[in-house]
This record gives sequence, C-alpha cells and structure tokens, in this order.
Amino acid sequence: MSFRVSDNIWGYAFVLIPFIGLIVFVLIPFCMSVYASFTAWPLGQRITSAKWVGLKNYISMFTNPLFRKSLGNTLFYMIGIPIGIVLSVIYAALMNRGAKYEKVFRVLYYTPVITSVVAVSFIFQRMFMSDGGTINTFLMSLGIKNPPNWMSHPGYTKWVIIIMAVWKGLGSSIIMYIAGMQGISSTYYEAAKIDGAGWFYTFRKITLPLLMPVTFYLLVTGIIGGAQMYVEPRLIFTGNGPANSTFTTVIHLYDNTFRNSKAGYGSAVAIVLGIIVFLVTALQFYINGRGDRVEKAKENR
Amino acid sequence: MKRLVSLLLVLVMAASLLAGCAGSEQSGKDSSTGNGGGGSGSNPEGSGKKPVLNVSVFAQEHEQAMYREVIKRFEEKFNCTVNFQVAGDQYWPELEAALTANAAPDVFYLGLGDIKRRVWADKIVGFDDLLDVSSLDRIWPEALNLYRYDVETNKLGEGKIWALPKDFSACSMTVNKAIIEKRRPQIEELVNNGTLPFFPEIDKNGNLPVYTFTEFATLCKALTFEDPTLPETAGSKQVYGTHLWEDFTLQPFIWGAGGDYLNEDATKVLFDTPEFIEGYEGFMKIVEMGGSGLSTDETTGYMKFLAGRVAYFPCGTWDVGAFQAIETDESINPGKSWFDFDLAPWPISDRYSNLPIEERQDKWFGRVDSVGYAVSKDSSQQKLAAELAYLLCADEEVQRFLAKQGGQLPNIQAMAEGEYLTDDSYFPESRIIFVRMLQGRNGRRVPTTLTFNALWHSDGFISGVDSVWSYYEKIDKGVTPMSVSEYCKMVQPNAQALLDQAIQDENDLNPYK
Repeated sequence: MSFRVSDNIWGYAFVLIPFIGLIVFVLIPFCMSVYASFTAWPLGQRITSAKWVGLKNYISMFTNPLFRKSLGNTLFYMIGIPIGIVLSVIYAALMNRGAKYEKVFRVLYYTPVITSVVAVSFIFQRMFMSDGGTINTFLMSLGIKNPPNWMSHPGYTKWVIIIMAVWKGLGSSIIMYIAGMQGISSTYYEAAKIDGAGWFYTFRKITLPLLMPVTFYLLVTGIIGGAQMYVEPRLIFTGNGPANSTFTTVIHLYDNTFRNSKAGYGSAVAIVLGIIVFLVTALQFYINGRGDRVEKAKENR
Repeated sequence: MKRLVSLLLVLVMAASLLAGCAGSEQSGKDSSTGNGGGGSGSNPEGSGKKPVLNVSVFAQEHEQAMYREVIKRFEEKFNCTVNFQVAGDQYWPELEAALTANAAPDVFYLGLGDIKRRVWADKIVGFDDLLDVSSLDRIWPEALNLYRYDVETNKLGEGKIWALPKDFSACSMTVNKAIIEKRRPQIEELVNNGTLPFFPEIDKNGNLPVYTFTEFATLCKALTFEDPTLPETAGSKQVYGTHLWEDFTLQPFIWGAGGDYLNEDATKVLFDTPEFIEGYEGFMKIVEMGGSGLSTDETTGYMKFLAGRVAYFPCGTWDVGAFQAIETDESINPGKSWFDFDLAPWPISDRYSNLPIEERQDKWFGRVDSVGYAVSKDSSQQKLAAELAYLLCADEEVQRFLAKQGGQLPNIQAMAEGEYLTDDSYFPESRIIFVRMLQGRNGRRVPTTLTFNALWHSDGFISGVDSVWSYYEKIDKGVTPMSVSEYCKMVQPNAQALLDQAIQDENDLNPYK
C-alpha cells in the first residue's frame, strides 16, 4: 500500500481542528482540574499560586458526611433510569402499532422534553405541596387521610425529583425506542407469526433483544446525566433539602467551589465523580461486549 | 475545486473553534449578557482617547433607570464612556470566574466576607490611594469601617478602605399591624393579666416594645388563629404569629440572650455556651408554644407574610419597598385591611423580664450587613473608577431616590439621621429602628462575614437543624429528634474543626503573614 501524503493531508487537516479543540477545551482543563484537586485553590486567584496540599482534599472529602450523603442521594436518583426505560419501552410499543392519531401522542409525550426545566420544577413543586397540592388533594379524595409530606419528609423528597425527571425524559426515550423498533426487519416478525408466536412472546424474544443497543445507549447516557444532576433539586428544594435529602454531588461541588471558595476541594469532588461514572460506564461496556462475544462464539460453533 | 471547498471548510472549522476566544474589550461592551465579568475598560489614562469603564452590578428594574441617569451625568462630567452591566442570579460565580481570568470589570461588588481574599490576591485597590479620604466623611463611619482591612495586623475594621458601601443594610422584625388589630382583645387581656408587660406598639415616650423570649412566644401564640376575613388570594385562612428559620433569623435571638456565634477574634465557635443555647431555646420556644408556622409547610414564611398570614417576620432595608407596595395597593388591600406593616425590635432574654421598657431598649440586636463597590487592580482607569464608585455610593440624589424607593437607607449619615427620619415621604413609620441599628446601638455584624468561609455555620450547624424542629414540633421528619441543648453540644466539635480548617486555609493564603 502506498502512502499518498497529498490525499491524506486534507483528512489530517480536518481532524486536526477538533483535535486541537479537544486538547485546549477538554484535556488541558482536565489536567488543570486534576492538579487543582491536590491544592488549596481559592477561586478568584490564579491556579499557579495555589498551595500544594497533597491528598488533603480527598481525605477531607471522604471523611465529610455531607459528601457521602450527596453521593448516596445521587445514586438513589439512578432508580429513575430503569423506571424510565421500562415505561419508554411500553409506551413506544403502544405508539408503534400504526394506530390512528399515534403521532399526536408522540408529540404530546415529547413536549415535556422541550419544556423549560424551570417551569416544570415550579409546577411540580406546587403539585407535590402537602398543603393544597394537586397530588395530595387527589389522594385525599381517594380516602387517604394522611398523604405523604412529599416536600418535607426526607423519605419522599427524592421521589419528587425522580418522578419529575422520569416524566420529563420519557419523550426522548420513547422516540429512540420507536426508531429502534422501526429498524427491526419485518422478516423476524413474519417468521415468528408463521411459527405461531403470540404478540407478547414476539415482543419478549425478538423486539426487546433487538432493542438492546438503544437500551444500552439510554442506560449509559442516563447514568452519566444522572450523576451530574443539579438543576432539579436546586430549583424544587431550598438549600440541601429537608435533612439534606435532595442535594447531589454536583450541588456539593458547586457550593464548595463558588460559595465557600474551595475550588481545590471542588476539583477533587469532580475528579472522584468522574472516576465513578467512568468505572460504571466501562463496566457497562464490558458486560455489553461480553454479551456480544458470547453470541459470536455461539454462531461460530 | 474540491481542494478549494476543503480549504474553505477547514478555515470555517478553525474560525469556529477560535470564536470563543474573543478579546475582553469587545465582551465588556456587551451589556446584555448579564455577566458578572466583562473585562476592564480600555484606553489607559494619558492615552488621549475617551476612557471606557465597565461596571457590573445587580439592580432591580426601577433602580436601573436611576443608575443610568446618574451615569449619564458622570459620563458628561468626566468625558468618558461607562458600560453599565446589570447581572442576573449568577453574578457571584461569574464574578469569581472573571477575577480568576483577570477579566474583572473596573467596578464590581465586594461582599464583606471577600475583603481579605481579594486583597491578598491583589485584585482590588484601596480607596485611600485613589480619593481624597476626607470626602468620605459624609458616609456612615460604621459602614466604611466594614470595608477597612489592615494587611499588616490582619485585622478587619482597621487600615485602608477597600470598597465603598453600595448599601448599609439592617434587618429588624416587621409587624403586620392589621393582624395585631384583629387580635387586640386577646392581646389586651394578656396585658391586663400581666402575661405581657405592654401592648405591641411604641409607647408615648418613643420606647420600642421589646419583649422577652417567653413574652414574644406568648404573643405569637395569641396571634396564631384562623382569620375568615382574609381574601381568597391568601391561599389559606390560617395566620401565624411568626415564621422564622435559623439560617437568617437565629442571630438576633442569640445576641438577645447575651451570646454570640464566635468569640471576639473569630477563632472559637460558641454553639455550646449557655447563652447560645438559651438564645436558641428562646427561638424554639415560639415553635413549642404553637406560635410559629410549621417547618413542613412548603409555602414559605415570606409568601405567607406577603399574603397577610404572618404577624412578625424579618424585614431588611431591602424589603421595605416590596412591603410598602402591597400596603398601599388599594385594589388588593383596601384600607390596609389585611396588610399594614411597620418595624419591630427583636426579642431578648427572659433574664430581662423584670426590666421596664426603657431599660430594654439597648438589649436587642439585629443583623447589619453591606455590599460594596470595589475597584479592580487591573483597571486602567483606577482613579476614574473610584470617582464612579464614590458617585454611586454617596451622591445625594442617588441616595435620596433609593431610600424613597424603600431599597436602602441613605449612605450619607447626616441624611439618614436627618431627612430620612423627619420627612414623611420616607417609610415605614418606625424607621428609627433601622437608624439605631446602623448607629451600632442595636446592630451587629453577621458572624459568617468574619471568617474565611461559612462552612462552620452551613455544614457545621444549619445542615442538621431538622432534628431540632422534629423535637419541638413533634413531627416525624425522618431524622433523630434532638433538643436544642443536645444538638448544640453535638455539633460544637465539628463546627470548631471546620472553623479551625477555615483559619488554616486563611493562613495558608495570606501572603503577608
């Protein structure tokens, strides 16, 4: 194979620009953040004048009960991911049957996705108020005399966030699943029909497995996004929420960096959060890849 | 042709990548970004060109029009251009980012807790070097002292002036007199049977109705009732005596008990001292006796107060305009039927229950705070920026306008102690309370502004107060209920450790040590 520089040079030129962008806007700030995590860097001063403190920020972080609480809250919010995925699959299946006015429902379910999170947070805050809120008024009309204190009791506050996040994200997941379903070849369904398979069996054995790439994508992006949750808990609850029940790791990072001027500590929190998300994502890719390898081994036998 | 198209595409990509690195001079002129940053002005002194200043503040809409008018006069007088930028909610984080990037505006806000950090990082200039200091005599000396810092002795309140006060604010109680009137028979009965020493109003000698903790809790209980006369817009008929929260309103109770959050040199946390515990118990007594809004009620105390459902509530000098607007709106509050506000003093320790009203006047305290105008060290127009800061701080017309809008007291002491008190176009009626607080008679500086950061308070104390509320309200909040005494003793060691860490961080950063 001959190496033709004149052909490759344009390719390298195109690749160089985003590569420079990656270095300047991602890699260098990342390295600075790693360095800052080992310093006592107060925001407002140059990072080069920050004092080196070694592992002090990391030790302080892991021994800080508020950090551990924020991490626990962040992990708890991940419960919304499988809930959202299951609901999305069901809704997508219902909206992909070629029925009349199907597209109207698709638009309606997608509307929350494009609605301002500030407006949605305000509405949910009002809906879940124990004093005159829509949810509790409805529950009381069903005969439940002491409905939950959604906004005040730490056992319920996180569920308000989860319900809101699932409701808001449902639309985009549904659209992705519908696209995935429409990409499945009809020959599989025809063959299943010939063999006498019912709808549910077909759905379980053909549709769901072939939607695995979409599910995998939603799982990975859901975990990455969920780990960075900041806006919803901040808008719906004041401070860290009742008994510190709603604040996330990113809120903890933000408060320490911008309100307490501990950018070094904030960088350490960001690094640890990034490592956790990276490890979880890598594990997901490994498990998913192992599944593919097992399938390939079966085919080759 | 293909290569030409490829070349063009590469150039477009390169241009888009570099577009974000635009110069600060251009970004400084964009006043619509709402940015806490924006860069210093251009055209250094002596360059011959018209100087440009960037000012970044946050201000309400009615204030902006007045500021622009004043700045126009300044521009004409000094033949310069001032880019006046009004920032949004993210002012402070954006300012931090701008300072870190050496792109701060010429004039920006400085909080009391940030003085040392900015001085050590060489980000601000002392006004003693820029202005004739004698011209500052008309400003409240107590306000100027808040911005003094001596780098040699590391003492606040002494040395150079590093910012000029944008405002000098106080936070007293406010009382909705409409609710007092509705419960007049019940309160008079309490006075007649000796439970309360006097009616909640200023007496004929001008003495403020200063109550002890128990008296105040009793009064709040009497003011907690169902009011059928409230309009539907109030959302509920339930009225409360008060609705307080630790973060902002516990300090007056601690001071009223003779205690404090920190010792004199701000090196020791005092949560477990008898006076602090007494003050906090006095605060929770209102809850215990049923005179307070519930902590589980998600409608905030502020919203309830605006709806005429809370009798006593904190009132900062910045709140007065909003309260006055409701009081004077005849369409929603005809004849001040459900909202008629005035100022009130904070309560004091039960130890003073035997004192007559005259001797109680100097026993109560409320928080005093401020934010100032600082001049950037990187400004190429430092003297001009200082003149602008002085104008915004001490121009008579500006101060008169802001005070009449109910946004703040005049920064000019003579105006605050003279015209502000005697001219009836100012409000509210008992504004003497604010003046006394600013004079130092009934005002104390916010404790968290004395330390390098507020973690000893936020993480070390506030983060767990739900346990105390659960104990006194007898409501399950999913936490272990704890009495005030148990809680204060529990949090003391960790709060002290956080303060020690803050002191250590401060020492590490101090280049003058």
